[in-house]
Amino acid sequence: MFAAQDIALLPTAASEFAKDSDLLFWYINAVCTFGGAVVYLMIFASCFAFARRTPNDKTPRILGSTKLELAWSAVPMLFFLSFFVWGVKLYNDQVQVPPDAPEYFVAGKQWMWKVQHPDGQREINELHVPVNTTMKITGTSEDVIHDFGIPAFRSKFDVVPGRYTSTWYRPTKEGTYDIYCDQYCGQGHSQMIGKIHVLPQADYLAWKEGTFKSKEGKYVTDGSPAWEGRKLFLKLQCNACHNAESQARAPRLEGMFGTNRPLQGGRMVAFNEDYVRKSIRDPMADVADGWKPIMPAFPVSQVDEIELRNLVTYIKSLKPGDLPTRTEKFPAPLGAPTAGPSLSAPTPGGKN
Amino acid sequence: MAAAIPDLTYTPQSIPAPEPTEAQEEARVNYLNYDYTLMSWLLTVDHKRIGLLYLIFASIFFTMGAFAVSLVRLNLLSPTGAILELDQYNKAFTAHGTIMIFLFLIPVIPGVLGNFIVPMMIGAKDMAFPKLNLLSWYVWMAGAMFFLWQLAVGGLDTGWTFYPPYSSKYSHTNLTYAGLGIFITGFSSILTALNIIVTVHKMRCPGMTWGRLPLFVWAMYATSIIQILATPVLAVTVTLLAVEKTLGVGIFDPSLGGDPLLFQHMFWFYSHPAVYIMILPGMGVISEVITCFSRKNIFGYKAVAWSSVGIAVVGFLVWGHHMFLAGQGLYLSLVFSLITMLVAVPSAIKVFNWTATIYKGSISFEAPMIYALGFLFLFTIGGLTGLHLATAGTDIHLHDTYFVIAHFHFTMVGGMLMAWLAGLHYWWPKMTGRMYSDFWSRLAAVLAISGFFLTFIPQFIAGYNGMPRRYPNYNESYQLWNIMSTAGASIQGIGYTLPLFYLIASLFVGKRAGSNPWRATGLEWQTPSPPPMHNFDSIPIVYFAPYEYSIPNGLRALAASGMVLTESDHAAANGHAHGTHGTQGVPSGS
Repeated sequence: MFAAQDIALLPTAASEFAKDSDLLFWYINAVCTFGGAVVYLMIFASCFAFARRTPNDKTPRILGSTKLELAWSAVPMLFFLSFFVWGVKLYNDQVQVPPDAPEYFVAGKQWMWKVQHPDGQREINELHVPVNTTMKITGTSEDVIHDFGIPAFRSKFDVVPGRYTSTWYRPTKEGTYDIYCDQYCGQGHSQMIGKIHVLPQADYLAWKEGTFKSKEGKYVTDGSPAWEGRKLFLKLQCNACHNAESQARAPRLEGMFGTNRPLQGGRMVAFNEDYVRKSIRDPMADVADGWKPIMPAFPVSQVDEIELRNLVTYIKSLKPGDLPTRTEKFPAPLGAPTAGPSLSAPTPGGKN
Repeated sequence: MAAAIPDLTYTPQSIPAPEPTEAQEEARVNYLNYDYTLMSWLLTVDHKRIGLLYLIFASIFFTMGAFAVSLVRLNLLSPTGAILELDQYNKAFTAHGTIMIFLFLIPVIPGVLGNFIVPMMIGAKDMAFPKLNLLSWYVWMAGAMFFLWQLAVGGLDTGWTFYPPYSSKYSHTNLTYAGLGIFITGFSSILTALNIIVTVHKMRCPGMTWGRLPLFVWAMYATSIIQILATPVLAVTVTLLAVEKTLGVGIFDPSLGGDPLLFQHMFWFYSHPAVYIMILPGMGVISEVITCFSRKNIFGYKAVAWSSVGIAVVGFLVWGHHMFLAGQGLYLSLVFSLITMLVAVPSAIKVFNWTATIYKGSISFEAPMIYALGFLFLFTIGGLTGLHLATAGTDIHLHDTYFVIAHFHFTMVGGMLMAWLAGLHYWWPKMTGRMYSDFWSRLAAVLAISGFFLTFIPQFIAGYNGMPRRYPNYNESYQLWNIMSTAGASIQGIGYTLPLFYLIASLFVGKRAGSNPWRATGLEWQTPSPPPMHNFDSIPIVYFAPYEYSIPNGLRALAASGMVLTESDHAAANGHAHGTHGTQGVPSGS
């Protein structure tokens, strides 16, 4: 029924703090196991050695021993204090956010996590972060108290309405990990979950640009250049011709970037930024093979260079299935919930 | 006027009453059979009958709380929720928490054993304020009715912690009724505590010095101090919450200008000491049971007694360890973590002292002792895992996960509930005059303890892996642990249901217990079972410290000599006992 990899035995340690936290956790475990074992052994040994033999067994009259009591107060106390000192050091590390760390912003609301990146990109119930980078997380809540917890980072902090709270991460291991709401917040508390994706630096840069080819998520990164390009793409009604339908009148732009495409006249062209840019400014110059030359030109008076760059980035980001339909008007916000938490089945994540 | 001392293998605190013959036993009037009418129960001012009233209703509330958690555990069999909607689950765990805490764990030992046993242990006829005692039960019932009403009209979904602004603004369930219930039952706590404090101060019989108080009385005394000092803060807190919810005055809700952390400070200022309100009486019971069933003096009477008081005092200063992640600031967390480490020390002392007590004893394993040993095993784990949470650095990860759930169930169920069952089984023959089935009671104890391990050990693992508490749906990698937990809970369920049958059966078919079936030293065992209406036929006089199970040469001779057996020799006897035998007594002031 259960495959070994489906059972949570030991949580992944995916950040610097996670390793520090585990070290202390196992130190406390070791001390406590030893202390507990001493008590258990003494009780078991007594139960066997001193089980009643006759109803009138003689027992010695032992009233206590101040020396022993002092010993078993002082020794545990010393260990407890070692937990305390080490624990406070760790806690201090976690609440003292390193200066200059880029700041990610998290807003909790019933029942979702909204995230904004330092450069303006936005996500919901997802967080893409670069590996081996120190980052500050600041949070607040739009309604009740939530708690932004990532077990793989051994990290957690309450997000409280009416104030900002902060912590920081330095992820050390690439992968996808769970985000949980750890402070009870009502009906959808257990659905207020998400995923954090720790990416290599290059992938993170691509993600920020909106061109990261992740398996999850059809849409480009909200707030990225590609996202701006997508809005423009729809506003200029590029999708009237460039769409995924059978009667489309222009090339289906998905998955083309980085390939070589045939042009009319038998030539081939590299489908790169330059070619896309040129095809928007001057569509008649290099017409794709098999299509009529019907595309209007978009001069700088209509699409300035910044906007054009965003369009190019959007087209760069398109992978199969990404093209809007012919009639799509306005981009739906990324990750906007399509059903209430109680209506949709929860998303059981994989192992941490 | 030397009285003959029966041939005992221990030294009772006072001279035991002679065992009545069968015919005398039949004819004897006791607190149960003097009047059978309903009004004689509802208007009774007898502490023993009030204790039984508490017993009946605490058992009913325990059953309700257990039913609620059986829904929770069944639902958690599946990662997507096996039987309940999300809202239903939230209401079920809230009902479990609130009922178990406010209607069972807090009142059960003070209400039942505190009422029944404390006056008998100190040789008093009754509590200091018998009518106040009855009032306290009625107030408790009135508060409980608000709880039941709240459940009947749709329940509450805030969790037992009632954190605003969720509770005050976003939850549209019956917070006001529940708050009233808490407010009112709080008064009952205060009245009972006041009664016990005054009783212990003013009602001790001759010779019952502070140094001769049974440790259960010390524990109840410490508990009562906490109840009197902390409960008003809870009343204030729920009142403010109700004011915010009903009148819209901004106290905790930031959108009205309030501060949600203020609530947490106030709530935990009561609710952390409240866990000591729950556990200290249990620790008192364990001291009684362990000494009796290993036939030893308690190891370190003073240490065990004063550690109760120490816990009571220091326990007031640790509430902030519930708020390490709430944004309370580094220095507050530092101080609270440190003091929490300190409050762990008295608990450790107690465990070591109990362990030393059974050393070289003559240990027998009747049901009360099995429960008491279960307490030692489970409370040790509960206490030690508290250290992981008291350590600020590791609490960051473990906070609000199943690790916390497992930890406090190890202390509250493994500790407090086991102690309660130990106490109930220990004093049941005294309360009813009947013995229950030895076999079934031992079986129930073993089932409860082993089921407990199976339930809560897996929760530590799930918690360390990050499974958050209060999740009706969860990541399927935690499913195995939850299935084990539910299986364990089912075994516990059988373990907790069995006593209902064999204890009730004992009333009809149980053997007569006699006045002292366990051959215990305490005063409550030196009067017939069930006790007469005013507990003792004559005022007992105490000559010895509470746990003289080992027959010291000379001590019995002293008792048998008759020298100490008259009122006039009483003071001299105190001096003797003090000087010769190392008891810590000083003459009572009352």
